[in-house]
Amino acid sequence: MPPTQKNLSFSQLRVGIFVLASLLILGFLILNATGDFNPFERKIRLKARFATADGLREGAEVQLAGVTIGKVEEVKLLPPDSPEDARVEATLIVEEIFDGKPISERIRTDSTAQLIATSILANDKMINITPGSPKGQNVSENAVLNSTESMSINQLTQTGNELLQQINKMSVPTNEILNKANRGEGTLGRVINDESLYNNLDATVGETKLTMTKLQNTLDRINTGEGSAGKLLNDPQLYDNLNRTVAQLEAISRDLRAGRGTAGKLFSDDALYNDTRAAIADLRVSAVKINGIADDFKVITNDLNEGRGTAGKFLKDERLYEDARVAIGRLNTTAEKFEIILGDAQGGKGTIGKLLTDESLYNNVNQTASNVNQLSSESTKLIYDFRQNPKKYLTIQFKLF
Amino acid sequence: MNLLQKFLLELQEITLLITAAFVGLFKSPRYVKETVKQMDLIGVGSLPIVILTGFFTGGVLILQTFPLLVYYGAQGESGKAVSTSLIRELGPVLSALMVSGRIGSAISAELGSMVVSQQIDAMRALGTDPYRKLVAPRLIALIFMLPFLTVAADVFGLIGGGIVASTLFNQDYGVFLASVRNGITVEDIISGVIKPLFFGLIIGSIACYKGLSTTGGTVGVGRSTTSAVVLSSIVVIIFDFFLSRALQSILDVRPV
Repeated sequence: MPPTQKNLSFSQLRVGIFVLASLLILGFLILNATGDFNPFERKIRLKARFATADGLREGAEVQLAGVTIGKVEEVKLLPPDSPEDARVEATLIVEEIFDGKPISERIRTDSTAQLIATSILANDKMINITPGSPKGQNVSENAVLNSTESMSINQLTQTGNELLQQINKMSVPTNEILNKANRGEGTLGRVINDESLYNNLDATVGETKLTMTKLQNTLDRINTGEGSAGKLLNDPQLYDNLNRTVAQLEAISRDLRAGRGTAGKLFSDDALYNDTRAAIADLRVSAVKINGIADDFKVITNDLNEGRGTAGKFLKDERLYEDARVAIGRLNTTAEKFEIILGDAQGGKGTIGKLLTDESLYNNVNQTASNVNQLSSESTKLIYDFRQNPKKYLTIQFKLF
Repeated sequence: MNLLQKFLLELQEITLLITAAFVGLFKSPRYVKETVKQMDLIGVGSLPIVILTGFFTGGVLILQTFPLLVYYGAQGESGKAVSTSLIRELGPVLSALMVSGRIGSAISAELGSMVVSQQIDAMRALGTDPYRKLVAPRLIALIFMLPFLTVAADVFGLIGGGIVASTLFNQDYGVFLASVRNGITVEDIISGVIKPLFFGLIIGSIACYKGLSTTGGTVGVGRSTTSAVVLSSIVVIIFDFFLSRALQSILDVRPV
């Protein structure tokens, strides 16, 4: 039964104190184990500035590469003279030690804080910090992170609206084109409505099919070894022949190397070489002799140059030349005179001129000739007549009165 | 005696009472008949009010959440909404509160009047331990019966929800049942049954302590009855929070 004294010392309440303490510790452990409450955790404050909070509230999640590491402690407006892209400052409170390592090893000065939407429907925002690279420095308390804003649903709908308007604008001409095509106008219309293209295509396809069949047949025949191509592919005879030829060529080359036959001797026998060498030596002797002849010629030419001998005089003595010149000069004058005579003759001057130009002589001669002709024919007739009737002419009439 | 001392004294006395009652179970005499009688009184006697509470709680849950679910186009998930809230939370807490109102007050009034009329003293004089004879059967009965009462409340809550969904919102029974099945996991049911064990212990120990510590005649009986019901209800709700969090963590229940 409970003690009934008015005043109790704490020593009499040991069980009560113990139970209370254990209950409190149990409650703390439950909350601590589930991660709701951790008073021993050290926190670090970071700052990020944005143009607009856009639904970011105090208590919103802060993530590092998608892992929750803290929350937004405060969102406040910056003074009005701050730059346009930093009107709002969010203070982020994140765990200083995360997963056994200082968070500043992960969040560096080149990390960026992104304002991202938690879902498509809600306008709630959270902050995602991208992990920094080793190039950056460790962040310190109250460091201001670089920030980017993700596209909000508002911006998205605005862009979508503009896109829709563009599509609307485009749909009018498209409609016209389609209408035209429907009516069968233009190339597109023909393509759609005219059957001839299809028929042609169909026919082409049919022909192609036929061609393919033929090709197939040909290939089959080649495969079975018919025809030249077939034989080429299938008959080993050609190969054998080639093989044999090659073998023979090999044998020939072997013979050549061994020095058998004419060609072989050509390659390997020294006799021909020796003969050729002797011939060349003879040739050299001949050349020497020819050289001698050439020297003689030189002597003769020198003599000629110096005007010695008949031929030399002929070449060197100028008298002959002079005589020839005089003779040619005379000939020249003669020719000139002759030319004058001829010109006169052409002009009809003189006898020869008349002879050449006056036709009367010709006519006369002609006349004479014809007369002579006539005379001769007459004489022929006369002689004939005389022969026929000699008496006629040989009758001598003696008449005396 | 200041307030802290008073609080510590009560905590100490309740702890000692629980210890004495459970230590007494390992020695004879054991009052099995008395225990069964208390079970009948506490369990079967509380069944009607627990069933009614559960039934109408399930019904009102559907009544309130269905329009909201229609707003989101998720009326097919109505059974899920009712079953998760009822089985995880409302079933255990509501039945514990009903039992503390009905049984907690009865126990403390009974024991209090026994104290006032000095029957407890007489019992002690006759060599009977009142902890074994009076406290242990009531504690055991409460700890045993409260989970079953909770299950009854859950089942009738789901029935009530189904009836409201089908009659007021024209939802098919099959759809409702399917979404109930879809919504409950084994972890939910286990945590819904573990909680009443602790609640029974809390209600029984507080009511017994308050009854046995009654002073001041018949007025004192009324005071101890009131304080037993109020204290046990408050402690049940406070414990429920920590218990839920611990069970969520241990059983890995999705907090969704």
